[in-house]
Amino acid sequence: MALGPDSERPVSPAWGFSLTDWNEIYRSTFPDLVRFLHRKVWDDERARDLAQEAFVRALRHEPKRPRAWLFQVAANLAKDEARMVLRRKKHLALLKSERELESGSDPASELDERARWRLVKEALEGLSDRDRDVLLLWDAGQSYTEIAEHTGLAVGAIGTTLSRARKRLAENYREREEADVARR
Amino acid sequence: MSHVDEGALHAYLDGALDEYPTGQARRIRAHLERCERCAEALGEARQVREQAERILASPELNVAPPPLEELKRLARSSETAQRRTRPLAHRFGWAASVVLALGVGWMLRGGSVPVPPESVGRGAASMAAESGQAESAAQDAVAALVGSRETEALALDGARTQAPATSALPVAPEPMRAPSVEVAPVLVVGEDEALLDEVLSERVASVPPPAGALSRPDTDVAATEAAGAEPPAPAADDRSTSLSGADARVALSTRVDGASGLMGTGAFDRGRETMRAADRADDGEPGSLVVPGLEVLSIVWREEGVAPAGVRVLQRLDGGGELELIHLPEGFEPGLVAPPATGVTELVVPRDQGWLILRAALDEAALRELLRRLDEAPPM
Repeated sequence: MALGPDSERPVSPAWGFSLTDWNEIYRSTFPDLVRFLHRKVWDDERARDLAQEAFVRALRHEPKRPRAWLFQVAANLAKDEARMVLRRKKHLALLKSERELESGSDPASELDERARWRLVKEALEGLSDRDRDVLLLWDAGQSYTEIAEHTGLAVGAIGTTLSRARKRLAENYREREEADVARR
Repeated sequence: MSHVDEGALHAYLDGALDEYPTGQARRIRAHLERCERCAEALGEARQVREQAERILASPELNVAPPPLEELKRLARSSETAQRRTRPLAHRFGWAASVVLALGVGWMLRGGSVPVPPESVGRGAASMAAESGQAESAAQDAVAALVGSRETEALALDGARTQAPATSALPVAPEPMRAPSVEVAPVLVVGEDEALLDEVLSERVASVPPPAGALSRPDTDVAATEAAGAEPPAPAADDRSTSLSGADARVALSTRVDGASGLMGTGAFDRGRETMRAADRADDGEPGSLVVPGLEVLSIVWREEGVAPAGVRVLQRLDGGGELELIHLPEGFEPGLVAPPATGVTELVVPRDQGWLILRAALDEAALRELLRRLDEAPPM
């Protein structure tokens, strides 16, 4: 079943008989959702867990527009996660992510990759919340219409926001990269 | 038409022009075909877009999803758990509202002045304890609605125990809210069991209580602590605050938030009868945080706005001692809860709607047995 951003699906509240094609939604959306969440929590395992949690909730609630609903819930889960980490004043997710990279087989490339991810993270953190959200939603495969629905912006404003966010991201990344090189 | 703006250029590159209002996409495309300046701008936008794509490109994430059937199973089980757990907070939540409303209404009517047992000797409360100054203390209590902020749990039983460590529950993230209107602790004590049953079964919501029905001869309905006052200390020797035996029924401490309504922390010491009464007011679902056969000592819940932020149940164990059950909803983790006291074993169990923590001075096997009884608790 093809999915469109505005697809309205008839659903049944009864478990076990849903007219929503969850197999298709799951197949097409799960990787995007993990990607989106990864750039929010910076831990691939946690991103996967949160994506699963979002799907469990979606299966329970059977929203009429599952894809948009999933991203909304995922964004909220990521926010909760961020608040919790902040409250503990620990950057567990980041550290964990670093540990996972450390366990790989090529230390040199892993070091580079880790440094790169730190730059990406910092570059993204330099964006406004809205610009970052729009950029990450686009990066996760959301359409302009879906992003507009998620953020409350007009469809026509998405391109402008993306343009600004991309520019700022590139600038932030370049500045940090240069500072990094200068430190070495 | 004027030149194409940067946003539209990015939309063009993203293949999103078709999502623009009808006609606009066609005009933009036509303009781009004939305008050199915009074609050049398009090239620059393409570079920016590609830079961003490269930056965001990541090593392949291992995103192999688990079988969908597994998630469906989880969804089904969490749906069941949700049915069993949510009513607990909700039904006591409305009970808090009802009792708070009664307490505040009582004060506003200029009736007997509320005196929380713990606050005797302090500020407005000590004034209230002196009957001659009751009116003035009532005014203070009402004035405190505007300026004070405190939530203090309490559990009243025959021994007049201090509320057991609600501080063990996590403090939820501060939600966005309008400036708070806060209420000093409001304590409502009743001796009329039938009436309290009505309170708990919601019928009282539509029937004003008869004068004196919720009062004790010496304490009546009670509140309060002046704004900013320290948490009150027990005053066991003061008769006016002595809540003992069958007279001590229900105690509540509340905080009202300007934006999100009632935040309640409450304790009920009437065991399963109370719970059954409350159950009748809801949907008949049992509280899934109560081990069958053990006396319920108190139930304390915490909310942030309208969202539950934890429920804590204390039950008396058959062999003496207490079983503590804490349910943490999604968004809270067991690591946020204060660690158990020395000698107390803790069992942390993931639940579909959060976490369940069991604590008692027992060995792990005994705790697991209690967990089994909890899980197998039949509907009441």
